[in-house]
Amino acid sequence: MSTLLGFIKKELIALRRDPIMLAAILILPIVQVIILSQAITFEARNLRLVIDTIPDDTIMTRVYDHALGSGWFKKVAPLQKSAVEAVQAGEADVALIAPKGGLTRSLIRGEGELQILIDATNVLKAQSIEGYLQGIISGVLTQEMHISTHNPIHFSTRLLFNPELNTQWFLIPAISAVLVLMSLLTLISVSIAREKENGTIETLISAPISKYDIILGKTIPYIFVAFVNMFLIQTVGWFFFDMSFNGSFLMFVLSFMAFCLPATATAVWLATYTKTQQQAMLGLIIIIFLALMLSGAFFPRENMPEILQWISYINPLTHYTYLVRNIILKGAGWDYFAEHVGVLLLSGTIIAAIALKRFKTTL
Amino acid sequence: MNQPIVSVKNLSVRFGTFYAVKNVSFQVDRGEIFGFLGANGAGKTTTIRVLCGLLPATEGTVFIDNERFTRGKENLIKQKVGYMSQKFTLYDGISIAENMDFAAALHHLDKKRYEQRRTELLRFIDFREDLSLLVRDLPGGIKQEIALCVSLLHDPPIIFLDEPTAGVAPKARARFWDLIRHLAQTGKTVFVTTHYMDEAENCDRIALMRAGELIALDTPAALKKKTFQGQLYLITPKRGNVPLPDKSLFEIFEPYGRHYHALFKKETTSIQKQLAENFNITPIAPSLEDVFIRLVEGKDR
Ligand SMILES: Nc1ncnc2c1ncn2[C@@H]1O[C@H](COP(=O)(O)OP(=O)(O)OP(=O)(O)O)[C@@H](O)[C@H]1O
Ligand SMILES: [Mg+2]
Repeated sequence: MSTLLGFIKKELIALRRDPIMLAAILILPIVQVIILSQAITFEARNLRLVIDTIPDDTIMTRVYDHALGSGWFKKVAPLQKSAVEAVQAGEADVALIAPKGGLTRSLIRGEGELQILIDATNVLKAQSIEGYLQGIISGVLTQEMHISTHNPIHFSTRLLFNPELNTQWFLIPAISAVLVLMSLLTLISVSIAREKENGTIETLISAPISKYDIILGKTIPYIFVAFVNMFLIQTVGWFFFDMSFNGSFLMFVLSFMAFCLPATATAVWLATYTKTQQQAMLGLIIIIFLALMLSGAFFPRENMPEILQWISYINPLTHYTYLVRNIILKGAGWDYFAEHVGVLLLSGTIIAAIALKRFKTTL
Repeated sequence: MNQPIVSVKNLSVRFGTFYAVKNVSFQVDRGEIFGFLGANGAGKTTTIRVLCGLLPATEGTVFIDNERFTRGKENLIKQKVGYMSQKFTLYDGISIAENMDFAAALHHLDKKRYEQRRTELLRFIDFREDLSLLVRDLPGGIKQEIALCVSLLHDPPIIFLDEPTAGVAPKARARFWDLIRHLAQTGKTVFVTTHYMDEAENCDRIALMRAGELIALDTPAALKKKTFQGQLYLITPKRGNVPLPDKSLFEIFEPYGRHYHALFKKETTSIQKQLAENFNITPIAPSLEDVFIRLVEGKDR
């Protein structure tokens, strides 16, 4: 028994003396609880809705107001495009298209088809939309028109980009983005920490080389590894889940390269704080957890409290996930690409500047 | 050419409020084996790290091969020094050849020169095994010899070896010191730290550090002479459990196993006679260990 007590005591003492470890153990659960409870809900909110109808379509306007009032939907800034184009371009999540002549008139006529056009790139969002809208429309009809027994309006729902609502199609691009991040962060920061832990870092910095040599030498090989990783995952998607690749391959590769900047810079930045591989691993758990939860890779960003939405907006993984998902599933255009790659390069440059400033070629 | 290869003036290194090296000045001549001794934590590694450009000095100036260590000149100086750190220098998981290739790349050696140096150095350490052996599979002594080769690959005029023989078996240690002497004969300057006093005897000059300060610097012979002005004796009890002599008679009375190394405060035949009853008393030449204990530990008391 006293051996066991001795063990327990020694482990706890060692833990107490390692500030990074202690921080990870005590702060991580708190952060996890807060973020998990706030950021994660599968229920979609703040879906961007556009409507397409003629002016003076009172019923349609009522539907629109109810939709916005429900909290599930929000307005899209006035568009130059038609509603269909807005959904195709990713500027709206759903378009509600009135029957010819407007919803009001078609109700009077007692016939008509109300089209719901949904961007199914994000399966989680898409799954909720149809139900929400039908509920809202029935509500308006019963309240305003007192039509409850027989609904003369015929709904037709079209799912764009992932018509079968195939969850794998939604998840695989996100998984590949997360894996690229994980492999880059882990391989780079652990490999630098290993040099420090083993003492080989002294050999490195006793050589007449610059910190750029060290950083590039420590990142480029792992960028290759991450690149290969990404292709393996895509191949699994193509082979096993029939996922087609609808976008530009060049855009796909360029997005990867743009994402490498913030990802590798974060790894190097983390490495400047750690002296052992264990510390690096703990740091990685925290960073990867935050990046993943606050990215919209698996949980819709739109539901998060505003502050978390902002954080998730500066999170590079958010933009890389958007890029990968949109390039693969709907063949994103160059303006979409430019917007998100811009954020990647900007955040990457900032992180890289901090990491470079902290990275020393002395002990 | 008679300029010293290392010249250190008033060097201090501070960590927070703690001075690991305090106002140290010394010079190292070309081609000498310069031994750097001191107890654990005396500041040896810290000094070497500054001299190799791994750590910035808090105060003081350092010249290596007539170049002053200043910001922006680090890489110029790093080309002139070889460094074998106290911790392990090689990459464990890759082969000898791969370690050497990497070192050559770090030092920007072109292929022809690298291959020539590698052949020379492997011949120098008389290595005939397979270069594709993984470093982790090598015996300790061989690892250190390979590490020495790696730090000599770029042919620096001076090499810093921080406890190169720590944890190495006696025979391999002797072999390693043969290599060090060879290097000095071919004109290289060797700056070496060790905790083995028998090894330190091989040095041309010895610097002794204590708590960050340099407390002695000279040849082994001169150090012994200076430290022990009187005659040192080996005192051996004739039987078990004899009462120890009155310690106030001695300047030094240090146990060595069942013997004692002693230096009398005042040497008189009457005291000698008195002791001879219980002890054998033999005059001996002081070893470096005696010097070390007297200077480093003796001062603490
Ligand atoms: N980075 C650092 N931060 C704080 N203190 C340090 C640092 N590096 C060394 N020290 C302290 O400076 C002192 C001198 O250390 P140094 O490693 O130079 O001793 P040493 O003579 O090489 O000892 P050893 O024989 O054990 O190798 C020690 O007390 C050590 O704890
Ligand atoms: Mg040391």
